[in-house]
Amino acid sequence: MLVRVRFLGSLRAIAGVKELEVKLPERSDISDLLHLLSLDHPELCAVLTDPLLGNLIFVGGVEVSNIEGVGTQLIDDSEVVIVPVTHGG
Amino acid sequence: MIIPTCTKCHSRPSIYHRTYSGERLCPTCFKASLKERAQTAINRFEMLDHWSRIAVAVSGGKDSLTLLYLLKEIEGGTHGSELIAVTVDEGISGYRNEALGIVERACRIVDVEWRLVSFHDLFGYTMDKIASWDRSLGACSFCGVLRRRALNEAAKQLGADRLATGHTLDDMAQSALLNLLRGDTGKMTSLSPGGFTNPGFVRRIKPLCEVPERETALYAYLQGFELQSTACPYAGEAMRGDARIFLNQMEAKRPGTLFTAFNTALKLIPNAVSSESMKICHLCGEPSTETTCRVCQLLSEKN
Repeated sequence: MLVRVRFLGSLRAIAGVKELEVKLPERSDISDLLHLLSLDHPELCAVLTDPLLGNLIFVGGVEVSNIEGVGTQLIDDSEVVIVPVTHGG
Repeated sequence: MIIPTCTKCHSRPSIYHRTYSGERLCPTCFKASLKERAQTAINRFEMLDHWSRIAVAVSGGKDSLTLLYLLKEIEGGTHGSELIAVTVDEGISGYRNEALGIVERACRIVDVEWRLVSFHDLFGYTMDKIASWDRSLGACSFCGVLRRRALNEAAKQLGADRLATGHTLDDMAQSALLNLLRGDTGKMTSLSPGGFTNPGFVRRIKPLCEVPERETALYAYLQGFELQSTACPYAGEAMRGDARIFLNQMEAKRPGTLFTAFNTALKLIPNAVSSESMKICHLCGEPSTETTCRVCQLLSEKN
């Protein structure tokens, strides 16, 4: 399945792109997506996988801690938006 | 995927889980709750009078933009206060320019007058220049002190009687912890959300003192704010980062820790700062607690 990921704020500069499409196996969840993004974009690894940075992650406009956290299931054509909470400066 | 209904309006689907209170909120109720939180803090700490002229420190980050929008909503209606946005250009190449554009556009949207002041014009140096000095303190120590002076100067020039800053609950809890770690309990006074009236200083207020940073980020997202993509190149030098990590860890394990730290710090603040303890800096003539103010002490490091 294909998932669209949109980065906001400082994550854009770190990723070097505003958004991208990620191909994932069926029944993947947010943790699978974050793992794959960290492998494909090592510069994102620290900011995506550190739970203490507490990025807001939205799936279909709903923040994942309101659903099933990083265990939130993704479906084909899901839109994921990642908003950094901590911004240096 | 089952999405819980908003626990406030009981009708719309929620988009956010407030772990420290257990609430699940829809966008409308979340934004209303943030406005209410700021309004409650303004009342609780007696931050404003009717007809206040408020200089709002707007850096272009999510916290200060949230402050500007909420104050406009709260004060622009019935209270009759005036808002003027003030931005400090520290002179950090590659960082501040993006933010200036964001602030300019935001001020146009909310119809608030905007004033820009710079370190270079006020002190004769940019932050980039200061960072290149052989200095004993981190860049953030210089920037924080000079920024406070610059904002106070701008607020005075604008005839403001309040200077509102976008300090969040996280900032307040971090400052409380840092003051304890440095053994500097005297600085707890600066945490007072309603500020103090002292000659030469425009009273500083912190309407977002009870709003977690995570929620200014959510507000910024819901409002569609432009979010700055560049981080300050000097931010990594601050000890504050360590306090942030520790407190975030505690908050994740025990939701509500930030509120507890902040409310405990409030109990350590003296009721007032005696104006008799204020002196005049013998170099620049600005009010200071010492014979040489902190700004002049820091700028003397250039030699």
